[in-house]
Amino acid sequence: MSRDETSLLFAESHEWVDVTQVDGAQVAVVGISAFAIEQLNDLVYMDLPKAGRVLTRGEEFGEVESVKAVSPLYAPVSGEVLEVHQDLADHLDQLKDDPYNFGWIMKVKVANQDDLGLLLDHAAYQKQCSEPS
Amino acid sequence: MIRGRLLPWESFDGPQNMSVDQAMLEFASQSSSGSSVPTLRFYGWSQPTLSLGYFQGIIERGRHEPSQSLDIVRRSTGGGAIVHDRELTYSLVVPLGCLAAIIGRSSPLGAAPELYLKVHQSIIQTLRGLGSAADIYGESEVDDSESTVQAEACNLEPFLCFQRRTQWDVVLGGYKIVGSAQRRVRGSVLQHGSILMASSTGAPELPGVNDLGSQAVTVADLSGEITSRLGDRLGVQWDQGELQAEELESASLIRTRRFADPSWLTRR
Repeated sequence: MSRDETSLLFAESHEWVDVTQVDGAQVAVVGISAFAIEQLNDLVYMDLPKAGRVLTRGEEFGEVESVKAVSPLYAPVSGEVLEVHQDLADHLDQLKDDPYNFGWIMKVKVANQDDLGLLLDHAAYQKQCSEPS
Repeated sequence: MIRGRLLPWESFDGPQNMSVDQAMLEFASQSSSGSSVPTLRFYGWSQPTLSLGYFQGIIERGRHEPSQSLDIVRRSTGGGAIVHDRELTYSLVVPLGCLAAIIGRSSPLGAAPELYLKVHQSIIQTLRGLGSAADIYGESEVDDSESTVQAEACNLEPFLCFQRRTQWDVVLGGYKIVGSAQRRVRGSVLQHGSILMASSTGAPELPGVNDLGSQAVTVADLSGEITSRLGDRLGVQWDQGELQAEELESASLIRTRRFADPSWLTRR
């Protein structure tokens, strides 16, 4: 089932989060927003984290190379990386077309419920994107 | 007018040069916007060194015979490999608190093309003043160099940065003579780049300014003029400065953990 962008949560650093329940645990599916993909412009490489790595909210979990710049990706929540979208790095051209479904990067077991409360809803994120930084 | 910090010219090995650039970037990111200012430095290399782009595989080194014997380091910035030998290298760090004022718009993510253009136009203006008719590649009417055409004919992305092209590169007589790359962190952006002065035995296929221009220019001529012109274009008044103790300490740690660490070099 396709994800509805408006129901997702967003980090100020432009990662999206879809919170799901798996075996009684909260799992955050994480990707990067359409706005970020447009700003980054023509991604050529992406470094993905390894499953099993334990992330702290705000920590760098990967990097992307776009035309003439390398930029970090930041973990929107703390927790263990359960699964990584291994096909993504070889199909970055598809990311722009489908950032919220094909574009998922990793699934993280949410370690701290409070992290979710620090994320923005879609309307607040859209407002952030429309304002000068 | 924004106040900026101009560091003295120094020459280090590859890991130290990359560590200092990274420490400057992180320091600018961590400092409060009130105390953080743009920083410019020009530097040399204590021995000829091959730098790999951040995402290049170590195995790709085998594609380039002339640089096989050189020291090697992996950069934190992307793009192709560079033979740092007879060149002038620069790095510019801009805190995001100053970036919007410098480029005239907010730039939350990815490359800031305006920064490339301002630096490269300053270099072009300097070279033209010294008799070399350099251009921005995207605005140049001269055909590409033979070396680039050959590399593309093999259907591989060229190994060397100077055989690749983006619209913001600086070319002279059809050859790329300036290549730059950016890295972003949360609060600042680093742009560093190389200006080829002359062909190196480590990359004899790449001519430099003194091989292509009408009169010989020195590193001192270039760096002084570029500093002045870049200050005008960025709206920055440069004050002579030094790396702070915190940056030197950070550079030392970064060197050990990253740029001088063999596992960092061979991670791809």
